Amino acid sequence: MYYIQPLSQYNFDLKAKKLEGLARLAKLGLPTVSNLFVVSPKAYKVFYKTHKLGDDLKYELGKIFQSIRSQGESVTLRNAIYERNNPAVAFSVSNSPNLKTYQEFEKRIVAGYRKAMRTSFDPANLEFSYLIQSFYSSEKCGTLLTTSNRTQILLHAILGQHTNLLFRGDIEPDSYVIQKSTYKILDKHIAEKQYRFKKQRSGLTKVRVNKDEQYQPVLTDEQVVRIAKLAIRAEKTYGPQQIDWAILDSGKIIFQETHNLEKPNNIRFAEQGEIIYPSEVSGEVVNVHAIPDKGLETLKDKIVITDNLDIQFINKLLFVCHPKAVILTKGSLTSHAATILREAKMTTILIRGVNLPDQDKVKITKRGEIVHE
Amino acid sequence: MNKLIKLSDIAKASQSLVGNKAYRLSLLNQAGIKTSDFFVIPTSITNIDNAITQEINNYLAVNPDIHYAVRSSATCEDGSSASFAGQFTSYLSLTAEEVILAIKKVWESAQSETIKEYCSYHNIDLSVIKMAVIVQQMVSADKGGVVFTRDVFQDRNLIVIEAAKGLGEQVVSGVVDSDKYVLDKKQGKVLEGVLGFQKSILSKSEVRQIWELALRVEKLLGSPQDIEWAIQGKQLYILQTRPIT
Repeated sequence: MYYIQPLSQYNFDLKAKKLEGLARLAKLGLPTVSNLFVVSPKAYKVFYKTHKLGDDLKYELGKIFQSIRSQGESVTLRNAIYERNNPAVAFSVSNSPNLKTYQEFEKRIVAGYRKAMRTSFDPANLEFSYLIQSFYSSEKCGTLLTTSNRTQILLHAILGQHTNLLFRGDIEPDSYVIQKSTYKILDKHIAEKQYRFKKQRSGLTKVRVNKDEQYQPVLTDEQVVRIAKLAIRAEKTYGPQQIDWAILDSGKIIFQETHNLEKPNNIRFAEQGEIIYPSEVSGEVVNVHAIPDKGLETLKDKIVITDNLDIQFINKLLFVCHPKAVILTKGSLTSHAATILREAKMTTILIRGVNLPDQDKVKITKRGEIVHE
Repeated sequence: MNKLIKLSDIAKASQSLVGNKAYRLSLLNQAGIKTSDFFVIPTSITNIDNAITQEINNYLAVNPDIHYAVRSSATCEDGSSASFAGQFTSYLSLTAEEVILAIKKVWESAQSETIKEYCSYHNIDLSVIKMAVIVQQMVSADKGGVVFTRDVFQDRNLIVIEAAKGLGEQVVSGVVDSDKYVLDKKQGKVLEGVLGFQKSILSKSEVRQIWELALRVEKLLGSPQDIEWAIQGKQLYILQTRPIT
């Protein structure tokens, strides 16, 4: 086809973030929305010049539409638009879900092109892509940050289908903190649920949640772990991600979108530890597993990271090496090592599995965070 | 006194003879709190002659099939500013034949380099330390851990429970990542933690049981406590307790 391609094979210059994220998921074979196709900006250019879709495009649209409908599914039309010379200026016109007739589908495509041409941007400079996909409905959805800090995953879950409600603060979500290295759920908060938002013909409707569902978690622990494991596959290839996920009525987990999790340089990146003895110190980190035979003085005034909670090691570290602070990467707050460090008033926090390179400069705050300097 | 002291007789002995740990456990025992049964080699005994060996073997012969823990109970131990936590060696899951050697090793650990460094840092005169040794019946723990009756970490009016499967020793030695439960001290409500998770080590009723018992121990001993506990079946045991430093 000339105008339309499957998203997973779409090799254009993907500047539209929405398409880029979905293309990543499709290329990695992660479960996402089915039947993803892109109508390239070439189609928009034809429409801009002729004010018509053209027979070739109509033929391709008809073929894709029929192929999705033949699977018993209806069609959703989404779009991604940006200015050619300024990709940072990106916007979209309204989406069209659950289309069941080709006439309605074509009408919506034309309406979208026309709407974009009426915006304040120069219509000749717009790069307008449509995304065609299967319509789906889900009762549960949410977002996930693969790096809420370097060692943990943060997941939010709500009833309903619209993750944007989370960002608007309309609904308090269930929230989970998951340890990245083991997928152990470290903490969870189950929100009291008053409403869910349901998509109906009239639009988004607020529906009261049944009493027996009010205090029930949105997800089972197994679902939380499954979503987290899938998300880490995306992170391994593309770096830290913010992922919108959903669970279809069939029980299948899909990722609706993914974005790079931005970490601007001017934002200091903090990792939350558990406090053993609080105070604020700054310094250079050094990873130590055993006391070296020589050069004990090299640990003086350093922030020592260790997974060794053996008391002989801890004594030597404290009473002979005199570090500035200690970060334990293993164990618990009530361990003997933690007790000995606290008694000695040594600034100490516990962050399981934390991984910082030697010579990294960090600050430990009174609240038990590691802030990278 | 050159005789071993049974748990039921500790109340009649002086604290300097049985050491701090044994003394506190006996207070709990007198108050009806379940502790694992034990006897003490008092501070007055400093070497094991034939008579002592015979006496120890007589005690152990009563229950030949069970295992023992051998722990320190020094006169300096578990103070309010220096806990000596983990400083003296403890031995767990010993057969009766292994007990005497373990007692000797606990005595030896009082002279170790690591104790000297610890005492020097805390300005404690090593020469005044007297060492009693506890020989305690092992609890075959399904779950074990530690409870702090005050949140020393963030100075809040909370109770912190840490739990692992098996022996609580794994929690204090830091070899496992334990489950943590933070409770409101007054009401016992779980504020943070993994309770209710499918893989939570403790059930709601176990958390409540530990909370209630921890408050009893704190009240009885008059200060916030760092308590090692174990659950075998439905029975909750206190294995040791010390003031929080």
